[in-house]
Amino acid sequence: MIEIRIHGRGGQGAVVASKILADAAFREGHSVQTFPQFGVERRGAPVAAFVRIADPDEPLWIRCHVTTPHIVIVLDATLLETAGILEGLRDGGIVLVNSPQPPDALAIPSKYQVATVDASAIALKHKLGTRTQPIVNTAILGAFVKVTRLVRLESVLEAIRENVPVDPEGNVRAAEEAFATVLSSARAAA
Amino acid sequence: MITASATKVITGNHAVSYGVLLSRVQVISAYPITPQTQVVELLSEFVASGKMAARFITVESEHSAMAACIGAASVGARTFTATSSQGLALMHEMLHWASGARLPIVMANINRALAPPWSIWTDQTDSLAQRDTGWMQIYVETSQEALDSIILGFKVSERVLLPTMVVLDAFLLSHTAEPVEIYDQGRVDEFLPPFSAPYRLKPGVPQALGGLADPGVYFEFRVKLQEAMEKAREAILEEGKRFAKLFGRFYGLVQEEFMEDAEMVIVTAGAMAGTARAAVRELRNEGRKVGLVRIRVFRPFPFVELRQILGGRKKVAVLDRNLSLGHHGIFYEEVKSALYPMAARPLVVGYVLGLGGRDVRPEDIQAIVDDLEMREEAPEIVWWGVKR
Amino acid sequence: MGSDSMQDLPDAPLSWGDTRWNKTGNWRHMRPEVRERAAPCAKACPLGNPIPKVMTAVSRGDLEEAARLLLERNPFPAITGRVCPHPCEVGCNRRRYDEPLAIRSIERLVGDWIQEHRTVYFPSETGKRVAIVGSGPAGLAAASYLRRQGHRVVVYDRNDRVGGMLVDAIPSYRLPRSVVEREARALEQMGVVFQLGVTIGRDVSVEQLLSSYDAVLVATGAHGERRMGIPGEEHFLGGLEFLRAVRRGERKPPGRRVAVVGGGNVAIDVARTLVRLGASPVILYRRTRKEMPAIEEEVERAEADGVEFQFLTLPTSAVKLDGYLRLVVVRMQLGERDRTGRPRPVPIPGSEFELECDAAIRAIGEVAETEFLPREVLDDQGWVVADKFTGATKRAGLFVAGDLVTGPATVVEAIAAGLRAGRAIDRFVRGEALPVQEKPLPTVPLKEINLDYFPRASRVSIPELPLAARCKTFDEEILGLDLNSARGEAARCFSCGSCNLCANCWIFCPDAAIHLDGDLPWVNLEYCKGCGVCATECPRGVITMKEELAREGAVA
Repeated sequence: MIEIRIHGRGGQGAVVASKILADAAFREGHSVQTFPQFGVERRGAPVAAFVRIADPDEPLWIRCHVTTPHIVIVLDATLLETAGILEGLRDGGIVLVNSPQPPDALAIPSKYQVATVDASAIALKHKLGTRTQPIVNTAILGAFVKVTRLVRLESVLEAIRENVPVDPEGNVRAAEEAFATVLSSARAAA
Repeated sequence: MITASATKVITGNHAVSYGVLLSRVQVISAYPITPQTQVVELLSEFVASGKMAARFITVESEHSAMAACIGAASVGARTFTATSSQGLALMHEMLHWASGARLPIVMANINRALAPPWSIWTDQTDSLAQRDTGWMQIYVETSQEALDSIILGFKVSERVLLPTMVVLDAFLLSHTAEPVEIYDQGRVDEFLPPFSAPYRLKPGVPQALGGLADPGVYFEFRVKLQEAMEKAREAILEEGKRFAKLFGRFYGLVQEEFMEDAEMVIVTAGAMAGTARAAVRELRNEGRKVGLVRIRVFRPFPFVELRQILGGRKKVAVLDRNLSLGHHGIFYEEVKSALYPMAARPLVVGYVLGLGGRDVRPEDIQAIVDDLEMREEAPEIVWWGVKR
Repeated sequence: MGSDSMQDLPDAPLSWGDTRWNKTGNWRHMRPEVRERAAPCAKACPLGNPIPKVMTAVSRGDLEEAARLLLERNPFPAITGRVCPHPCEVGCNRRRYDEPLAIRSIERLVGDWIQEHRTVYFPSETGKRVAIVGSGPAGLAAASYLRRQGHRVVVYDRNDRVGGMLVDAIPSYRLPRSVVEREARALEQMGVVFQLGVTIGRDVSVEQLLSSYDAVLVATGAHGERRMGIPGEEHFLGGLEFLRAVRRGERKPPGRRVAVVGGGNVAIDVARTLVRLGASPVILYRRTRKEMPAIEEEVERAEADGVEFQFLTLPTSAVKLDGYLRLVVVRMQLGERDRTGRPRPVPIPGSEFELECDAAIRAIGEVAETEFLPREVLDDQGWVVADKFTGATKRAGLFVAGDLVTGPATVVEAIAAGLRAGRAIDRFVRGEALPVQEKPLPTVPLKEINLDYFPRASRVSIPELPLAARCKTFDEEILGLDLNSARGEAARCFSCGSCNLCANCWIFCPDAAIHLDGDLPWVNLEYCKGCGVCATECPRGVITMKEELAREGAVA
């Protein structure tokens, strides 16, 4: 079972991203479960969402928070400055950050594999969300596929088309572009 | 109309909505804002788009929502509502009315903790506080079970003429998306034909429903209600088997797992049962003789089944995400009373945990088993995870 | 309920049989009375238009039904929907709650719908013949009514077109001629014959008409212009004369700065017309704004147009100088009230001042010309004497209506008078007794409206030409509502005293004693306990509670 935690701010689409990811994995036959960090969401406030992906024959019985994720996705790099973003991330785990900077430029411990993608710029380019608040969730999922190879890009694109009501094709193109442009540090020694 | 069965990743809330859609409910009445959930939001969309041929009545309070359901059910309409916590508490008077008038209304209650202080997180006290209202209560563990229990709820309710409350944990089920099979309408229609009410009001022929019953007859009406509850046990099992034949999923009164040779047993209900199952499987892998019992149907209470299953075991831990203030966990109290007539009773220990949505992890369950193993007698309450 | 065994009881606590044996009506001390009453709007309307019912139909989008209802009382809603001073909106109970309904605009929408969807109506002929003199609103209304009753109707007018004041005096920015023409054409299609360019009293006498028709209605209006009786009066143009010239195409103002004397509708029409011709009018009125007899809304529009007002002024003489006029004007003050209840204006000695202008127009009132009528129907002063309700004169078969009798009034009052005379003539030619005025229904005041059912809602905004544009054109200045806005506006109607089968009484009655299978709800008194819920929950005052009379056998 792989556990993923997505951090973002209210309005960036973290919860929808978790749903798309779970849907994509489900399309490939995996057991999946996804849920938001249970709370009262406000625009701009830090939010989190969780995804569990397991083998097809492994039922997902547990219903509690993800506290020791294998992968952390960060939709807003400024969140890295706040406590708790990398909390519980397993050694050798992956951190995928929406940032224009290369992975090495981020102050993230070397025991993790770090990947960055400029999802905001990609979202703006494809006119997703507004100038002040681009919706970056679909772009980051394209990068997620490239970095983790947990699911296939086609599955994510299908799930985007199913779950995004506004401009699904723009979102698909953003995911494809992020897939092509994500930068990754060398895999950390396990 | 849904012509082909399909499995989709949807939330527990929406699973309930699909259950209602497939049950061809005719009247939905609900209070539309907090503590309401997306259950009725999606239903209102179904109705507005014409996907569902139902009247959707929004009202100014949950009390009125249930009153409207009672009115609709009195003339024979298949009727549904949904609520949560404070909203359910506000319905209380009308809950008695619905069962006393023998109206087969089905409701989804999302378990949320009661205020104050305000909480929107899971806690079973809201629904358990309604245990004496004459409603059947089904505590589900998965979103699939939520959808299925709505359809089954109408089937059983309409058979025994008692209302059903399908209970889901807030967030752990209500907001969690997971794969759910949404059945084709044809199969559901086959299982659940249109409701033909044996008693119903007809505008042209005025009759009194729930009129004054003097001491010469009131008592008997109460006994009849209790008899209906007793018939419901059988009905739940029979309809559960019929449902399993058509849809491949069986739901009974209780669900027992890892019970062969189990000396210690975890008893719980709702979403926590899944977490407990994962923990029990681990313990079994370690060779420990631990079993799991999930109480699915709380009313009518499955005391016969529990006596059979728990008789002869050494120790039982009852996990309650609820609290009867001044007593203790409510499932604990009910399990103990069910086992009391037995000559050889296991040691039953009541653990209260996870109130107001406090996270309960597999490690907690494993630690509870360790704790149970050490105990020789039961204190009134074992608080689990309280910050002292 | 009663039983010896549980097995005898039903599972649900439902009564054995139906409950109709239990005649709960004998508990009653009060009984509900279902009775429609007049809405204040309808009561204020000279035509008695069934406004609440029309509003209900419009709110449902059923313009055909609205048209049917309106035409029962008003043959020309497209006309009144434009020029009526809408006393209905003054009466509207909403006015005392938030804002009155825009009744006139809705009437106009229905009127325009009628003009576009009219089907020709062919009555069955009675063989009776009626002559109508004057094709103004009173004459046309009578013609419409009488023709529908199947009488042959011939309308005479000295003018060469149909409409009287509607096309001759009322400016086209208030009432486009096409609207009147469409009504005239519809009457013609229905079989009304117009004899235009015929002056009764000159070309044909009233006596001749009386001898060749079964009845004659004279509705020639008030066209004589009152004179001021001051030196230099010959330098003043007549107000009606001026308006008539403009309606016939004259577009040159009589001067740049023009004094207009008077405070009635003609004075306002003249001033606003002058603005549209590029002139700067100044209105001289001898009382204050409050006493102006003109339609209030038109006074406001004149102010917005930039018309200057000099209140409490009266010209006493006029001298023509080199290319301009010099008026001597005296200032007035208000004195005691006269017979009409208005304060009498009294000149202030020594307050005279001079006012220079390029031209002056006099519009101080119009009088009827009656010389052509048989002497026996006139009084000593030459005024027509007639029954106020039917318009019947001393001379059998001769009826009068409109401004001819009342002096200058509004279009709607003229239509109402024409219809009343029409009804009387119909009876007369059939040899039946003339109708008598019915006692009006009591009205429903605001306090009898259950306001819990009516959230406050503001009045629809009525589209109109922008101020700058309207002052440069004779195009219609107030525009029509679209159907959606009209529906929304009509839905604001309380439907005071007028049941629209909202079914509240039926929903609330705890004894299922209310029945909705008729035009009005009815109460089955065998079951009505007199609880009064129906009366309380009736949003519109149709149900009231009345004390039950002493029952038989009850102690007196």
